[in-house]
Amino acid sequence: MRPLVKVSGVSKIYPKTSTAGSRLRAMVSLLRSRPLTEGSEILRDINFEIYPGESLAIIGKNGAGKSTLLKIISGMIQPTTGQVTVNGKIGALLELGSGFHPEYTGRENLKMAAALAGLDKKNIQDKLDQMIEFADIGDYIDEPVKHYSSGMVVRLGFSVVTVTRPELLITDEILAVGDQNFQRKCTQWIDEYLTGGGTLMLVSHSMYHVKKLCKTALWLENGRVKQHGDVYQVAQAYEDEHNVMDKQNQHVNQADKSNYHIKAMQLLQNGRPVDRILSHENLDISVVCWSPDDRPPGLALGIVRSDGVPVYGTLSELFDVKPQPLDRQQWRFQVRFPEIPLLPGTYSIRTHAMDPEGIRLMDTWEMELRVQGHSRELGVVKLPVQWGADTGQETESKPVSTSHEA
Amino acid sequence: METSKIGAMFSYFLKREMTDRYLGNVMGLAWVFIQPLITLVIYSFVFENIFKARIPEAAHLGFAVYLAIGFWPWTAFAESLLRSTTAVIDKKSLLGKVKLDLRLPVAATITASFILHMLGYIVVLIALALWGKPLHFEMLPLIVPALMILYLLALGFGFLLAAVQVYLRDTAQIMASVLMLWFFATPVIYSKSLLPETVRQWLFLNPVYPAIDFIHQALLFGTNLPWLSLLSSGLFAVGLLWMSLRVFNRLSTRFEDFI
Repeated sequence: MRPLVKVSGVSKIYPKTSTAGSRLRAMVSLLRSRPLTEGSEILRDINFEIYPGESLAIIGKNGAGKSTLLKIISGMIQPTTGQVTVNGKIGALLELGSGFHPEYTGRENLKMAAALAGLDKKNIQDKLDQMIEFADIGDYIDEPVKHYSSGMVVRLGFSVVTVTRPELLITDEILAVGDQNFQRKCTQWIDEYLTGGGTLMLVSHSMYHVKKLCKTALWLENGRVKQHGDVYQVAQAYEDEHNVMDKQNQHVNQADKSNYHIKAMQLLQNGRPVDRILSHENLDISVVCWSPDDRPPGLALGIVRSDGVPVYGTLSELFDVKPQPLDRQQWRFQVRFPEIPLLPGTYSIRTHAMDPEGIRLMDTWEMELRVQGHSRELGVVKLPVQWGADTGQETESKPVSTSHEA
Repeated sequence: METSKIGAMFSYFLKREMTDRYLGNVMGLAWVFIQPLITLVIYSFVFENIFKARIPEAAHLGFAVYLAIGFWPWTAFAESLLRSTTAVIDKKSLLGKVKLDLRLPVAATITASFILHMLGYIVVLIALALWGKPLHFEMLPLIVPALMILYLLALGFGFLLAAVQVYLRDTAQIMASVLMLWFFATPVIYSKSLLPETVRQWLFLNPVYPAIDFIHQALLFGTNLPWLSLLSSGLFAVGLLWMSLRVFNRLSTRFEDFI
């Protein structure tokens, strides 16, 4: 099968454009057919192919070169070196409102888009009506686009694609701007489009969307392809690496080393450091704090789920505990959560050193904790529960094991 | 891209250019006809009654008639250059966002200037005919090639300027001054016979002079048409257009980085 898009050896360097001198030099070297090599490199030696019917996600951090790659494929900008071969009609929905003239009305912009897409003059009116119907923005269609809300702009943009029906649809995360009704309409349309043999290329930071809409994924890092293949494998590898990076970054904010601060923190089980435990096991936390004077510092400790939902927080001051002195300036806190009732998931243990008065939070340390287990109960913590309590049963109910548990 | 698609896009830009210039005006396109007539009346009053300007070889026609014959073709040319210089950077909102052959808006700007000013020219010529000025209207078909050459020259300079403007933003300012100088270096507001011989021999360096001179000779006198210099100017125009399209193509590969 012939690939719809073949990207071979594509690199992109954005040239320096800030001074008149560099602009003049660039112009002269272009006139002499020399490539521009000065500047910042955004993409380096990208090679891949997209076949008809494929759905490819581009993932990576901000600044990895994702949008630049999409723009190069859609022909909006030229690569510095390398080649992009396209064997079909491409429709691109990239930046918000791109390609729309703010002074023209929605209707005029649609006309322009239709002309740019090369629609036939004869059925342009018919197609225009279809677009206006899909966009569904009422009388605003005859208002200048500069008065539109961002959602309306997206509606207008997407309505163009539904009528021009490109063989390859390239889109950024802009669909997230529309309201729920419209998002559903778009997702439905994309589903239909994909089943009808359409090809999709999508940039997204949402692994959920990526896994839902795409079969393959391409992971860009610093302008290079880090991994390309099955969407589940690539997305998993991407997420894993980002968790590792978070773990290395334990000191979340810069501590003032001349003031109370945390020197070390460990998650322990039976005296051994751990980063994962089973639900309802004991968890020990050991924190060493530094004090600039002889007074013992305070400690705040909290548990949050990986999406930021706070679970529990406590302060040494509330329990009137004093840490154990290691030397004149170092103090150790020992905290135990017996049979911690967290449900399976990823959590962060956050600690903050406090002044002896227990008023100011000085710094923040964070460590990731994975709680494993097979419970299918929902939420964050296991609460004591009694099913059928009114029938006189007095003891706590325990979930029965099911075959779904792996 | 297929020709039909290019045609559709070009006609879209052309229409846009023409309507944009009169967007929001109460009288809209009627200005195309009103403006030239007002200009003609003002010029004939100022130059004939206040300055008492005279063109020796066209004294029987009056100064305003002489001026009118050359003024509209010159304005079409000058405005084309001025507007085409910014034609690419004015499409900033489209650049790097939709795929677009940027030669189309440049060509559309120039074509729109010529169409609008030629409509004005026709209005002025009709007005002069009704006024009973003894112009050689039978020569009208012969000035078409001269106007075509002016158009080709405008395209040739236009593509060049539009591309250079993206890299060197001073181009538009420089062009405003250059066009002023160029206007006075072209016998539109005076006749070539008023020039000293030492200056007149350098007129051939002005690429628009042959076309303007041809139009003057044809409509005012109906004789001594300078075919040869018009032809050489036509060859120059074709060469210029070829060269400037090449420059445009090379520079356009990086427009989006410099805009």
